[in-house]
Amino acid sequence: MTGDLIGCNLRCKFCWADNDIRNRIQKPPAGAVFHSPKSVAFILHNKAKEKQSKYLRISQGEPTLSKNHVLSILEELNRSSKPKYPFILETNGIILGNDRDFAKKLSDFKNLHIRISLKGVNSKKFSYLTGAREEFYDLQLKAMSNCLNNGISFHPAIMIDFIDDAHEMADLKTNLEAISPQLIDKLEFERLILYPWVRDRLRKLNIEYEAILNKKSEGE
Amino acid sequence: MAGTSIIAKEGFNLIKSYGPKLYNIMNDYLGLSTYFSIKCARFTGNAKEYDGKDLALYWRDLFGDYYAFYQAKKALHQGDKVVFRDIMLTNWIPLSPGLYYSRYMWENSPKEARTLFRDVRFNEHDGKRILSIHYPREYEAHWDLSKGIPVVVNKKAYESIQDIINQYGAAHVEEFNAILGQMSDQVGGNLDLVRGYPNLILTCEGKLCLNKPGTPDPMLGTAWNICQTEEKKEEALWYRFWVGTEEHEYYLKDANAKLVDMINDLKSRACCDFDEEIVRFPRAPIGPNKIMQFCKKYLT
Repeated sequence: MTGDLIGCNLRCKFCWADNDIRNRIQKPPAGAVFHSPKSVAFILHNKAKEKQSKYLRISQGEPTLSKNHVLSILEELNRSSKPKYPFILETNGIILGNDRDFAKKLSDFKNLHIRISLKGVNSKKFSYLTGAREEFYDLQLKAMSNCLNNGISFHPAIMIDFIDDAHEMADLKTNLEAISPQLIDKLEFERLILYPWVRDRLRKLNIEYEAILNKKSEGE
Repeated sequence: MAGTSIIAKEGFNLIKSYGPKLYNIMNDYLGLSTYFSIKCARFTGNAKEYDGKDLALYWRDLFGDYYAFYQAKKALHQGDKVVFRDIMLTNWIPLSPGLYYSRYMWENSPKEARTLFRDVRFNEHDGKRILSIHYPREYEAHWDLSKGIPVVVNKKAYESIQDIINQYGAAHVEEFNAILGQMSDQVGGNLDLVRGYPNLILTCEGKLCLNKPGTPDPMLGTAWNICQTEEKKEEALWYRFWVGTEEHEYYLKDANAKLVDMINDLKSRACCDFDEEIVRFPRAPIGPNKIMQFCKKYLT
């Protein structure tokens, strides 16, 4: 069962959240409302029961931008009745990598699993894909270290469509192995999804998505 | 590879006229024929359970030294019984099963994966059917059919999930037992591994145990095509569709319509058909049906 949130601290070119979702912080989009942590937990839990879902998740934007809100949701879910659903926190890891204390607080929640979505195989690619400065890439790696050190269940994910060659694969392997040799076995590959707004965004940015996906890959 | 020899006998000129790129793609596409020449095995070895959360574990045990990250010890052998718990089954199977997890991709280029990973489904063949195993993992936001594990099931097993698969495109299965069988020697076991194909494949002779039928988790499949423009240039196209939802049929139709639009936009013509169950591009010169006719003639 998935709840959607708005706002993000990165501007990934391939992001499947539309621009309205990514850029908003103050006001929800038309037809949506902000919820208190209690209300989020209540709705997710009840909907999951109704739909026989096995996991709870918050998606779209970057949930860790509102640290206290996330922690409160987890507390509320902890208090909720059975079943105790595993909660998937999907994050780019920037905040989590920068705040060891936040990771420590998250480690209190045993039903939590964190999915850290890496934006690129190295700092250069990270900057190209997200528009953020290269040095922030390390925070994504740090986020994984923080999870590891605090005993938090987590796995990394990366979009394969923006890995260009075997050298980049090797970069990724090196980065992950430096944190833990087991991490690479947990790596999840994501694929680019060409929702109409993603297609439009890639076109505007002069990224030939067909080339990314197909033509280049045929050994030109 | 088996596909190559078939083409050499019957269809080489057909493929040749579409250029080397298309030939390369079709060569892999034709690799699917290998599934129809597996030797079903008896349980002679160990039993191993996969309890759910990680598809990569299976590939690691199956590939051993050929596993992507060089650290694996082969743990699955011919005649071993494999038990999966809490999985999804679809009849959409990846064209290059296991490629994500093979050393080949990591040592060469991930670009290849982008081209080769497409899904396809086939009709029943000699009382057997190819299905694909997936784990339901909602935290992988868009769980990808292309990462599935292929499995051959008999008619009886398929019939126990047929209605659900027809309705949702996927069935949730509580427990699934299969035996690892060897692919026929004529397809070249070594080549299979190099290209990311497993040289052992799962076969299931029994009934399947359904779990919560009607509530599969959503996953993404890929409708695809290769088209040729008026300038004799080939383009690979794809569009994704949802499987495991009540609206599965709608999404599939939508994906098909989008492919038609893309082909028309490029002023091109479709070269392939991605779906044998329903012919979606009847004028395409190469389609699963045609490939399977070749296979039947030369491989069985």
